[in-house]
Amino acid sequence: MSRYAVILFKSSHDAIRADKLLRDILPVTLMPTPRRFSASCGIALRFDESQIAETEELIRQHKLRGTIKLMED
Amino acid sequence: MVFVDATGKVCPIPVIMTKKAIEAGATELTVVVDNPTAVENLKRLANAIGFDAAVEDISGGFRLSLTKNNKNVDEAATTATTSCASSGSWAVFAGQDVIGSGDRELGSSLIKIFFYALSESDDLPSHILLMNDGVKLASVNNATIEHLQTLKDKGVSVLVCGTCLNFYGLADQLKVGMVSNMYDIFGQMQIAAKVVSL
Repeated sequence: MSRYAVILFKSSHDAIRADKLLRDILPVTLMPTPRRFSASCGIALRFDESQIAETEELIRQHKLRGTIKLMED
Repeated sequence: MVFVDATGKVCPIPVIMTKKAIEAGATELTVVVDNPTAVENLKRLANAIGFDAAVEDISGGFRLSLTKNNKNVDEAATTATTSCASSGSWAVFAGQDVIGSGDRELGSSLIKIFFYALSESDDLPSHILLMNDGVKLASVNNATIEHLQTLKDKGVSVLVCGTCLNFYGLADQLKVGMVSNMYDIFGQMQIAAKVVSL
């Protein structure tokens, strides 16, 4: 079992913009949106769960429309 | 000496014809086929059932001489040789560093999540073949380098076009995979049961 966090987005434009903004600051990985969140756009960003607070702050600063979820696999 | 003419036959027929002849008692066979996939499949069959195989190029195809040796027979491998599109026999070809044509940013995101999904899959290709802009996936694109490394660690061979690396001045920046050439990349395409092109 490993835990990680994902940011889900309403649109792929938001996801692509978030990847560009965050990838130089945080170790984020683009991934397909996990199937159970299929209501969101198909591109999600994965990051380490230890960086949730930092990521939330960055999402707010850059006005990114994303929702953070915790994942286990 | 038994002669099997499998000219014009595609997988799995050449393997089935050869197996039948062997089951009927043949210990020395000459098999003629006209495609490289059949050659590879017959070589695998020979190896699995304790035969030596010698291949010769002939006009319009290949001639295999199969001779019984005393090696152990691997039943599981014998069955595997007749399944033409079995897992492990496919390849991914990327001739660009994006998926499809259209917006570059979107295409770049799509190829990253493609390799993410592939690296998590249970059915992995045997080879990933990179050419033209595709070589950037193994040299300058950090996201795809990570996924390709995971795939390589799981046993997937990553073959990277050396001509292309040179052309783009990236020869000293290759991070994952093996520098390769047209003969090897083309050869893997011929052996693979299917090639998925991005």
